[in-house]
Amino acid sequence: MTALVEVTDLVRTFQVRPRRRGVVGALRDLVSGRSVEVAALSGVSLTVGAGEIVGYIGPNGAGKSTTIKCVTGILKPTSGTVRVCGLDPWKERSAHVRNIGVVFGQRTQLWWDLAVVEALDLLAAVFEVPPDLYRSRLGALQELLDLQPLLRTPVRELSLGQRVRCDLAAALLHAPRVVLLDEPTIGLDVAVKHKIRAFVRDLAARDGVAVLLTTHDLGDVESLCHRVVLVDRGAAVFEGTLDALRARLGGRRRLVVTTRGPIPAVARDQLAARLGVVVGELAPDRVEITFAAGQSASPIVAAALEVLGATVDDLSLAEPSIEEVVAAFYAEQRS
Amino acid sequence: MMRAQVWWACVRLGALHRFAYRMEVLSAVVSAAVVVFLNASVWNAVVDGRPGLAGLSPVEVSTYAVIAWIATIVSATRLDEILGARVRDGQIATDLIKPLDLHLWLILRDLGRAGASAALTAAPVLVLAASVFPFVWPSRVGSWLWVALSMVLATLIGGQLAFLIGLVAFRLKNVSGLAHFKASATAVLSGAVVPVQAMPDALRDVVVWLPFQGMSHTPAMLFLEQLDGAGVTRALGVQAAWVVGLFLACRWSWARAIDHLTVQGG
Amino acid sequence: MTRVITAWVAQRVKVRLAYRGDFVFQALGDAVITLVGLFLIATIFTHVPDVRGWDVHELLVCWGMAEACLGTFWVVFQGIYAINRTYILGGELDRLLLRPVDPFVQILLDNLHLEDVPVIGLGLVVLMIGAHGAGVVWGPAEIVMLPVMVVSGALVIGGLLTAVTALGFWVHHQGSAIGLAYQLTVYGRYPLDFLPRPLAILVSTAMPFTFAGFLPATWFLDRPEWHPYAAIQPLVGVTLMFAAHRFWTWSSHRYASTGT
Repeated sequence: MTALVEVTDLVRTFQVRPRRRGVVGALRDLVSGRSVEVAALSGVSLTVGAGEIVGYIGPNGAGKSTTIKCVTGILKPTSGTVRVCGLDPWKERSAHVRNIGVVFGQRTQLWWDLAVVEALDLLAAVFEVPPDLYRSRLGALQELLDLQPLLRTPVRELSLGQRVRCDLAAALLHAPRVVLLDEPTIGLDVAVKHKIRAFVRDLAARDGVAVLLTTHDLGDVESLCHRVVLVDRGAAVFEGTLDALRARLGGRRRLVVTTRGPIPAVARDQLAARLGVVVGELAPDRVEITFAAGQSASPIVAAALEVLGATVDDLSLAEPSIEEVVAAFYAEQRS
Repeated sequence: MMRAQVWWACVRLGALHRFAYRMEVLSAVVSAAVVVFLNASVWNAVVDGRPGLAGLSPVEVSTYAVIAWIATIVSATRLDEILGARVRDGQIATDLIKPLDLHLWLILRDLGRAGASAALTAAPVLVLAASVFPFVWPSRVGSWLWVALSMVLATLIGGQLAFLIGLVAFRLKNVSGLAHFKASATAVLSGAVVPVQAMPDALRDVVVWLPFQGMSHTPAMLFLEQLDGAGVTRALGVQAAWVVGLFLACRWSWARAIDHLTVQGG
Repeated sequence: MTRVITAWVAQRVKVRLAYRGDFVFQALGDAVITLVGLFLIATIFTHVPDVRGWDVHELLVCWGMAEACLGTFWVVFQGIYAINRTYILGGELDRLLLRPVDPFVQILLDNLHLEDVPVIGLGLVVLMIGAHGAGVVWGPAEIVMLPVMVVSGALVIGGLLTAVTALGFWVHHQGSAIGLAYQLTVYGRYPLDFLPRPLAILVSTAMPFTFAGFLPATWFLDRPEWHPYAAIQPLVGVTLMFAAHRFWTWSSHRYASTGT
C-alpha cells in the first residue's frame, strides 16, 4: 500500500501576546508588548495509504486542526516534512490542492450568498474540471448525497446537515486522491451521520481515496476507521488499530449476571475468590463481573453458572466502548 | 456615591479602549495629521501672497484650518456606528436589561474617548502642525480655559448628534450609509472644511442656526481670540444650549425607541 | 484563468443585483464625500482667481482624475479592507488556500465593489468639465492615455495598500494602518506645489499617491514641465502592484489561521 499522506516529525509553533490588566497595563503593553512562543505540535508523524481511513483523535487543543491545516497547506510547518501524493503542500500549492478535498464541519468552503449549484459551478471552473466530466460527477454526487432538492438554495439558508453534504460534494468535484475531514459530523443528527459515514466508507473502498478524519464522535471512529492516531498536547501518543488500542490499555470486559431472587453475599464472595476477579453488586438480583480485555469469557461464564446454579436468569457480556478506552488512555497519559 | 463611581468607570473605559492597541494609537495620530495637514496646505496655498481671507489674516486662516480639523477629530465620534451595530446584532436587548442608562453610558464613554483622543492624538498633531505651518498661539492663559470648556461642549454635541443618528438604526437596517453621510455633512457644516466666515452667504445663514458649528468653528474662534468678553459668553452659551437641547431630544427619542423595541419585539 | 475570472465576476454581478437597495444607498454615500471636495474647490474660487498659479479648470481636471483613479480602486480593491479582519484574523484565508487560484486574486474577486462604478463616472465627468474649461484638445495621445492612466492610478493606490495589508501577517491589529495609508491618497488630488516640501516629497516617493491624481492629470494640461513624470505613471503603477503582490505572497507564509 502506498502512503498518500506522509507526515514526519511535524512541529508548528505560534506566537502569543499575553496582555496586562488595567490602564497602566494597557500603557505598558503599548510600550513593550512581548510575545511568547507556544508549540501546538511538537513532532507528529503519521501516514495514510490509498483506500485507508485513519481517525485522528484527541481532546480540544491537542493539535488536531493544526495538523490538518499543515497537511492541507494552509499552515506552513515550523519544521518537519509533509508530503501529500509526493508533493510539499506548501511549496507546490496549486498542484497540491488539486489532489486533496477538504471539509471543515464547522465552516463552509462555499460562498454564503450563492446558490449551491452556482457555488459548485464556480468551483468546477476554479479547479478546471472539464464540463462533461463535471456534469457526470455532479450527477453521481447528487445521487449519493441526495442534493437534488438543495441545488437552488442559497448556501446561507442550508441547515447544518445539508451544508455538510454540499461541502462534501464541493470537496470531491475535482476527484481528489486524498480527502481530509475536520469534524465532519459535528452537530449532525443520527440519520445524516449514518448517511455521511456510508458515503465516506464507500469513497475509500470503491475509489481508493485516502481519508484522514478528525472527530470527537467516537462512533465515527468505530464505524469507519481502519487505524487511529491519538494525539495529546501536540504529540502523537498512539498509532494502530482499534483492537490494538483496546489490548494495549487492557480495557475491561464486563459480564452481567441476573438471577431469579436475591444473590447471597456468600455466593458473590465465592465467585470472586474462585476467579480472582472483581464482583460488584448492581442490584440484589444482579452482579457485574469485571475482567481483563485479553481474557476469555468462557471460564467465567462456566464458573458463574456453577456457583449460582439454576437461579441464573440471564447473562450479558459488554465489551469496553471506544469512549472508555480513549478516556482511560488519556487518564493514563496524564498520570 | 456608588453612581458616581459607575459613571467614572464608564469614562475611564472609553479612554482605555482608545489606546488598547499600539498601532491604533500611532495610526490615529498619523491619520489625524494627514487630514489636518491637507486642510492647512490647501488654505495656506489659497492665501499665499494675499492679504487675507474673509476678515482673517493669512496666519489666522492657517491656524483656523488646523484647529477646526483637530476639534473635529476630538468631537466627532463613531458612537452612531456602535449603537447601530448593537441594534443590528441584537445586543441592545441585553443592554436594556442592565441597570444602566444606555444614553448616559454611551455619552460618558464617548467623553472618555474624546479625552484620550485629545491627549494622545490632538496634542501631538497640534504641535506638529504648528511647527510646519504659519501658526498663532493664544496670547492669554484664559483663552486655553475657554477652548477646553468649549471642547467638552463640542464633544457632548458630537456625541449626542451621533446618538440620534444611531437611534435611526431602530427603524433602518443599514446605518453605515447614514453615518457616512453624517461624517461628510459634519465636516462641511462645522467649518472644518471651509471656515464659516468664508462660506457662501446662503450657506452661512443656515449654518449659524445648526449645532454643527459648535463642534469646530466655536473652539477655533476661541483659540484665535476672535471674540470679545460678551462674544465668548454668547458662543459658549450657544454651545451649552445645544447640549441641553440635544440632551432632551435624545431622551425623548430614546424613550420612543425603547417603546418601539418593546412593543414590536425588536 | 480567463474562464475563472469571467465566471467569478458574473456571480458577483448576480449577487449584487439581488440587493439593489444597498447598491443605491452606498453609491449615494460615496457621492456625498465627492461633493464635499467639489464644495471646497468651488468655495475657494469664489474668493480667489487662482491658487499658486492653478486655475479652477486645472484643479477640476486634477480632481476628476484623482476621483476616477480612486473609484477604480474602490471597485477592484475593496477586498483589501477585509483582509486583516476577515481573512487573517477571522481565518477565512483557509478556504482560499485550498483552491488553485492565487488567494490575493480570490480576495479581490470575492469583494468586487460594483457600487462604486458611478464614482468613476463622476470623476470622468468632472475631468471633462475641467478639460473643456481649460481648452484641452483631445488627440490620440489623450484618448489612449486616459483609461490607461485611470487604471494605473488605481494600481498605485492598490499596490501601496496591498503592501500595507501584508503587514497584517507580521503584526496583529494593524487594521487602522490601511485606513491611514488610504487617507494619504487625498494629497494626490492637488498640485504638488500646494503642499509643504516634506509632504510633496512623501507623496511623490514613499507614498506616491500623486501618481493617482495630479501627475497623470497634467498630461492633459498645458504644463509641459510635468509631462515626463506623467508619462512614466503607467510604469509606476504596474511596478508597484507587481512588487506589492510579491511582498504580500511572501508575507502570507506567516499566516497562522485561527485557534487550533
